Amino acid sequence: MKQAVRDQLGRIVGVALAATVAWAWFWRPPFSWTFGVLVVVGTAGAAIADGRYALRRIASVIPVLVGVSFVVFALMASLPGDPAINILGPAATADQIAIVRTELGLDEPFFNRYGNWLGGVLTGDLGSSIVLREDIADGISRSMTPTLQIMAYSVVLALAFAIPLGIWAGYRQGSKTDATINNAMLGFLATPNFVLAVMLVLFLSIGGLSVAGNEIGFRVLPAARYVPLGEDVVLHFKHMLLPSLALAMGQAAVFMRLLRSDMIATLRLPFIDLARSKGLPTRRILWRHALRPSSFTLLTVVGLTVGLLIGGALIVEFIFTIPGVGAYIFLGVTQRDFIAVQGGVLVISTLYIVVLTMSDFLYLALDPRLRGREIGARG
Amino acid sequence: MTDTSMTGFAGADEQPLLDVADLRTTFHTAVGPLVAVDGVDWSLRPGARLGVVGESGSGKSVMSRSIMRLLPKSRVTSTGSVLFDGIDMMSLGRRELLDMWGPQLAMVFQDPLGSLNPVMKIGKQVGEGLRVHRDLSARAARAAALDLLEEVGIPEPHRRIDEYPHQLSGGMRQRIVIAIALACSPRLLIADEPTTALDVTVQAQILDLLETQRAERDMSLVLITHDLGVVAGRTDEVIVMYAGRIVERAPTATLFGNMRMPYTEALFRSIPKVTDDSHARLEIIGGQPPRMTDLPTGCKFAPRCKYAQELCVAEEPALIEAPAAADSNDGGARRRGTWRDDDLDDDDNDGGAPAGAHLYRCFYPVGTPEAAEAFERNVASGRVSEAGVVIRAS
Repeated sequence: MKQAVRDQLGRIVGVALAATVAWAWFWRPPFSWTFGVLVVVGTAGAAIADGRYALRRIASVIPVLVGVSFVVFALMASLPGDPAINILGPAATADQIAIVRTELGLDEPFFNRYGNWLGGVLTGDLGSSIVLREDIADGISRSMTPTLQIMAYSVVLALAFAIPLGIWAGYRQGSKTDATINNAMLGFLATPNFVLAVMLVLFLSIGGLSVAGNEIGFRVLPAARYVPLGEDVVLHFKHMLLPSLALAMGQAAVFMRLLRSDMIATLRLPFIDLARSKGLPTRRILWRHALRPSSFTLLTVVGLTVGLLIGGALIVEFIFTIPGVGAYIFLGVTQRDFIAVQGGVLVISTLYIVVLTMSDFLYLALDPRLRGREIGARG
Repeated sequence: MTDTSMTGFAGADEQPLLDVADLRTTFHTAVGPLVAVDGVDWSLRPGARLGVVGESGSGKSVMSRSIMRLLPKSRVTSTGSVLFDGIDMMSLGRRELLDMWGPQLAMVFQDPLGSLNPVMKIGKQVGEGLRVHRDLSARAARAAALDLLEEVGIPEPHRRIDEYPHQLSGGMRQRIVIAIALACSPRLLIADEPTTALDVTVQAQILDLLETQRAERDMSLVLITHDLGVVAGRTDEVIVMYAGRIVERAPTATLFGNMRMPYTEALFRSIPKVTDDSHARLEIIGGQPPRMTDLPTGCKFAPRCKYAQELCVAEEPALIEAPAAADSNDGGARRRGTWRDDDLDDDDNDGGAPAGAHLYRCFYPVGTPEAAEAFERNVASGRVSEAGVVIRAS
């Protein structure tokens, strides 16, 4: 009897807590994205695997997130320098500093401060920036938008290059086509993305080199500035193309080489022989039979790449003057705006973990042999 | 047996479904050319069953893939002629081959788990051939796949059709592979060691399934195996291969009743028999199959043969025909003398070897007084033990 009541109580408290968090997060941009992605991932996971497994997998993310928040908070708290001095300037008196410290809650013990901050986070409040005097959740979601856009566009572009080329190079292993694709991709792999970014700008947007009064290059794409998607769709993509391309080519090289080597291994398997003996066209064998079982490694690396890019591609964003999340955090660090940095790092690591969870569910979608069996976190 | 055993090969007036002549497949390896199949001739009547027997590395799988033209294009060449219903397989282009694979020739592979795509539902894999070859809609292909699953004896096909290969047992998987092969009603089915990877208890079921399906569809069957026991009673004619060559070819009943090739005899003796004591030691064929890049000059089996003489090491025997009354062993020496001169390899073999002929490749055929003498000489010289175990390679 008692046990049953305790079970019910736990469930009620759990649901109430989840409802509070869900309600608080639903309206705030950086949280609502995370929340939305988790819901989508969870639904998909439940559809592919069994629902209880999906729920368990998502629940297992929670302690990780709490751990991450603690590490982030502890790191920020242990940074040298006093934010109060930063706000007041070097001429401030000890009394003034003490007042500001009390206002910011810096006097309280470490765990109280952590508890206050975590409580705010759970209800959708990341605090407000000391330096910019603005709500941090707003700031992060504003700077996160272009970063996530560049991330998505560059990964899609990279896959659009890498998948057909990887399939073809793997199928034609050892041929001239294979060598050509490999060498070209090796070139992109060896070029740092900021070098590629500068070259793209040089040859596609500012007219290239001038030789004896003749331009060797084009002025077809804008070099810099960020245009929000909601403002002008065409202009948005025109501005995003070069930075996305600069990031995509290096990724495409990695993706293509991974897919190529897995394709080579898959194409040697007996089921490919059987598929051939059924009289299927090569195209169908490559895309329908060989691609999916060859894409597990690719999925792992795409997941990691997406995770890394959530943190912003600082240099490329800087070259194209895109106000991304990297720039936001960089500003926070230089200004000792620890609350902003804390919030930014927390949102980024949360999204990273959500993305890795998503790639775990994608494994289930790709490989039915894993379904109904426990899979460990990968990557 | 006596009657059906005569139906397995092309009669003079009947057009064979498959006619293989002087088929030679060479792998161009780093250490030089490797002739995996070396001048093979045989033909198969519509609806007939051929057994191909040999150890691993004897070239039987490469032969079947050469006939199908399933080998990779680079570094492998096949010469000779393969006529499928009068169509020269060797001259077909890629597109034409795709049309042959499935509706004309199909194959069942050795490893049923490996042969199925692990990430594709069974129903899709079975129906796919129909979608491509007959332009069926997804719905029609699924219905056809369901029928096929039922035909090959899959219990609960409605449930199984949406499962993945890893959810089935080995025998079920092989039934699926057979369903895939049967999907487009091929006229020739090549089963390459279809039961090797399976439990002994399941092997007979799969072989029976192949036989009932063959009979129902009036399909021809080539059954490739390393186990003489598998072809006994399930084929009309048997080819025994060694080192890429045919070493004996005969109607099944003739082969088992009167085998001539020492290698066939050795294979036969390595089959466990019901009449044996339960702990009786099986006879094994000593030594290893020859390395294909370094073949002996004479008979390729000579090093492992208990009858082998100097002649066998010096000269490779031709594939010769046993006389109709092969059971009588008198006059063997005379026959040997004439046959050696009459080198059938240089003739058109199909013309030379009439339907139902018993061909073999040996100077001292099993059961002849010469073979007995040769064996005694080998025992006397200490090369072979009394029990017939080869002690020293010749």
